[in-house]
Amino acid sequence: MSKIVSQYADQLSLIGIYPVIALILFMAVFAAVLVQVSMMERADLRELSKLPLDMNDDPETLNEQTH
Amino acid sequence: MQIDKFSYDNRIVRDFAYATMIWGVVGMLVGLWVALLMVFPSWNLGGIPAGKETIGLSFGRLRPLHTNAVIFAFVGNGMFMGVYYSLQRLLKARMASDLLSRIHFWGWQLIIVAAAVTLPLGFTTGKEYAELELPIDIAITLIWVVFGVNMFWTILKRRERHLYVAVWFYIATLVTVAVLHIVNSFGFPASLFKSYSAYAGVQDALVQWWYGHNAVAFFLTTPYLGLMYYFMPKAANRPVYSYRLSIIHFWALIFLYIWAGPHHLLYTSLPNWAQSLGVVFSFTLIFPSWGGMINGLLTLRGAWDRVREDVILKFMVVAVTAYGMATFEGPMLSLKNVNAISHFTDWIIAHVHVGGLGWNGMLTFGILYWLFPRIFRTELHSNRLANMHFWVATLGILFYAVPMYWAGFKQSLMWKEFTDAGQLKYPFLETVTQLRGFYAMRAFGGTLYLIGSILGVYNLFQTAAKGSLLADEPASAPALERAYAAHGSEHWHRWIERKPVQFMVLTLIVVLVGGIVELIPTFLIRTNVPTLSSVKPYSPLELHGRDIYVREGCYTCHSQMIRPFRSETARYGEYSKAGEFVYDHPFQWGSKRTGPDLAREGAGNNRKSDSWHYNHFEDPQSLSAGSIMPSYAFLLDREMDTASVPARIRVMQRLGVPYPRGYDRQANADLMHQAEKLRASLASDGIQTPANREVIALIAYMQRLGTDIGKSTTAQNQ
Ligand code: HEC
Repeated sequence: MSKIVSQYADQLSLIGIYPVIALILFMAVFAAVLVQVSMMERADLRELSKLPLDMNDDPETLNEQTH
Repeated sequence: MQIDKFSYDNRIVRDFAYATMIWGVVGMLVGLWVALLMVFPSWNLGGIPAGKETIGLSFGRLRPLHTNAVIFAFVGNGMFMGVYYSLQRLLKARMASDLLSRIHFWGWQLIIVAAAVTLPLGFTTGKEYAELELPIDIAITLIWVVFGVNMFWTILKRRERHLYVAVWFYIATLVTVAVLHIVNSFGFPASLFKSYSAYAGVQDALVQWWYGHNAVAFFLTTPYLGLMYYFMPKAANRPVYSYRLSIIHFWALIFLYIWAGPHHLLYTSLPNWAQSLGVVFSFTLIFPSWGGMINGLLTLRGAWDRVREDVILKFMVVAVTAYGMATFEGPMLSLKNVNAISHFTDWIIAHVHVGGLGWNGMLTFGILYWLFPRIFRTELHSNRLANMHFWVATLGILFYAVPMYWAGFKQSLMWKEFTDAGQLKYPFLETVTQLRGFYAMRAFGGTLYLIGSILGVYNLFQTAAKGSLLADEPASAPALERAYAAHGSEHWHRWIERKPVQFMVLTLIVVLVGGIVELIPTFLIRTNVPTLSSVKPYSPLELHGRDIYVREGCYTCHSQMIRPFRSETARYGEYSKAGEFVYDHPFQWGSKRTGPDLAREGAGNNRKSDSWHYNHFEDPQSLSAGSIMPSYAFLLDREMDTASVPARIRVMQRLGVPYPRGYDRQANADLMHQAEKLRASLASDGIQTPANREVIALIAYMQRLGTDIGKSTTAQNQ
């Protein structure tokens, strides 16, 4: 199997445009993410970005909670 | 709605924090020591007898100890500390299993201790940042799985439906590090602590740097970006600047990073298409990296006045700025014309320390200063001391980086300079002696940074002593309802954010695409590595010498890769061909030329007499005044370990090296025959030595290097 692949691959001089194909692939993924992200709603985003903050871990108030 | 009461495990956070601080200081101390060895080479202590083995406290064996300690022990523990703290809070759940947390903690510390014992003993695979031998590699895999299970189990038990961006970075780290580690560590053992890489030459180089670069990406960067996205908003008490940007940052970064490895191999014998891939993707990386940096810095918008007062924010700002600098420089270094100058020089050492000391180090301490008052329920012991730490460390980075940049430029220009008559202007040795002052300054910068860290560790331990650990921090949150009604028309990304398993699979696909597309052709396409009929397997004596070369870490100072530049071919001979390395398990191309390239040490103008090598190994400075190469005098006394030769030959055969069948039984006779000839040659120069000494094997290897191609330079491309 690998022999067949390598024979074909040997003949393909395509390998030179490999980086171009890879880059196009990336651009496609990037574009998809961009479109998705631009369509997300502001309110949702705000809610998500607050996830680390909606909890009280101030040293002083922590003391009160546990004492 | 049912409200669950539960608690967060702060003990595991504390344990990882302690480990971070202790290993951090140890790792930096070793770093300072190896920096000093480059100024005072006589401080190298090689070959302290330890049973059958030797303990080597010399540069070649200690440099891997330094890199492994700061990457996997300091940053590794720092990552786990931050992940365990933030993951529980972001998911509103205690870690799924305290037992797994403990196993993870103690397992990881044991691995570090194992590394600290085995590396000075000379047990090494000879692959940078992956030096640990097979049994330890297996332990790493198991402990990583424990971490992964614990993390995923916690994710599945969570009380917060949506996974915050930090958690994506943790997931990407988890899966990618696992893939990288397993693929790159693939090797066959000849004994418990001696294995050979399954790959050879060009292929080994590609796999290694695919791993090596992504160790930077997925061990030093993605987890720390996760930490940045959690701890910066916490410290600034405001949400991340743009959540949209963080999504783009994440996907673009993990997609691009995995391809960037070949930028470590520009102008080498790696096929051109792979080099181009590396260049294109490395350059593009600047965009997501800077997106992330800007997102971090702008999180502080409106809080800049606080940065002046708040030492934690100061640490974080320098960290993120250093991240920005390193990720601007990285893509520049990947451009071929810049790389032609920077590669193999101290420039790269400066680059990695801006990243390591600046980004990882400063962020780690920023987080530590933020965490300790919280988990120990008290105030920081001394704000003044923390400020002092900040300034000393920042100065330390400057004193480290500036001399190294300077040294790098100088070194490179000197290597490349020709006289009007067309001769190389500087002998290599002169480039060594001229750098000594820079190395001394660098050691001073490192000392400053270390002093800062010690101040920090003292301050933090005092804080811990003053307070008391809130081991189980009470918390409450509504239980997660099973059924989830997506509101309105939902977007793909909103969906994936609450599907951890799908998220992991998608991440895995993204990194595998890059990995597979890049690696597979190198293995399948024969024209990538044109065979050279004159290249023959190493003789048993040469192989033994090569093993000693690997054991002593000569690759930490010497390259074996002549790039196709006039300045290199004039100095070292014909440029290196892919086909020359087909029996090199592992490859030893190196990444730094503290000493000259050795790829053709045995050929052409470079070839020296056997006695020259003998004397040079015994006392390099006697032949090269001002050399900073360590003495290897102990190799003159140590006997070769011939008992292991048959097993080593058999492993080589398994890896496809064409020794005749049954050669393992004859190998030692051939070995002694060649050693005897070398003994006689040394005797004719007045050096009396038994034939069975390790130095004989090493000389045989030196004299073999680069000789294959002299016999026939016709590459058979088809
Ligand atoms: C700390 C860095 C360092 C380490 C480690 C090191 N070397 Fe060197 N080596 C140098 C430097 C610098 C020179 C150039 C000055 C000289 O000739 O000593 C050199 C020179 C040499 C030369 C002479 C090359 C020439 O053509 O002039 C050989 C051969 C050599 N080293 C072999 C080794 C071997 C084998 C090892 C491992 C056992 C080793 N070196 C480890 C730094 C190092």
